[in-house]
Amino acid sequence: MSDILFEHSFSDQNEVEVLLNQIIDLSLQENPDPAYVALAHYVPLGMEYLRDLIIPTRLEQAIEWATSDIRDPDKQVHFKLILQTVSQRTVYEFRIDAPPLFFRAFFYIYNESVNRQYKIMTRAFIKDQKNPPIQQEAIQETALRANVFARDPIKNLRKLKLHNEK
Amino acid sequence: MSRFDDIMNRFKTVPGVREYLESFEIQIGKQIFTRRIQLGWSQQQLVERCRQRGYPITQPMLSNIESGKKNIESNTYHIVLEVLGGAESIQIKFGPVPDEKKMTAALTE
Repeated sequence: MSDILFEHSFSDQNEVEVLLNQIIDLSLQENPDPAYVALAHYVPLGMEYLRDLIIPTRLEQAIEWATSDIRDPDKQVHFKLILQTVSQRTVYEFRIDAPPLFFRAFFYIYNESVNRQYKIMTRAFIKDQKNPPIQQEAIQETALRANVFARDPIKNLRKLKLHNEK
Repeated sequence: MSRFDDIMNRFKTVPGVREYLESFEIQIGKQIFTRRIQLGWSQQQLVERCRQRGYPITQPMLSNIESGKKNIESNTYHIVLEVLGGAESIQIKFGPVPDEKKMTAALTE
């Protein structure tokens, strides 16, 4: 079993949920941008795969694939479902490169038991330049969050689960 | 309901998303992908195991299968499933019967 939880960022905003809702809202407009409509297909696809997967303790390489763009079969969309960041090994990145949109989300994991893993998402954004400052900031913040969580995982998991109930 | 489920349900209100996520190709591709990761195999390792059994599968083909690309031959699914240990059961949960208009649209898509 595996679950995805959302955590507030230090700015006290649930950045991941806000971004996901923005993608949905932009796709539901009267004349939506086709790039956002395509992203609204790919993001939940990646999130479903991510939710159902237990990330191995030793991840030797990124879990990734390329597929045809739903808008144009001759174009490719690249998924990096799980990419362990180089600078912080507790931090994982979920990427979708669907030009002109480049989706990024950051998370850490908590293994409650061998068969029960939580992926805790902290930050997400649409990237518009190579290595934007927000990227390093998101990695550092996620690492810090993971560190704080690990101090008392049982209590912190309980709090997070409560926050994630609707 | 969790916030995650809530977001996923909202995504499914975008035209075409529900059909995309619930398509046969995506559902089976996800299971193949999850099984491969569970076994700790890379795509290349699975491709090599298929080839050792005489099945000429390529890494791009496997990538297409796992990502739910359409127009994959049923025999290709069969081969990959066999190498992954064989599918002991494939369960289909049926939804409500669509009306004729929607059915025609889905079949001609």
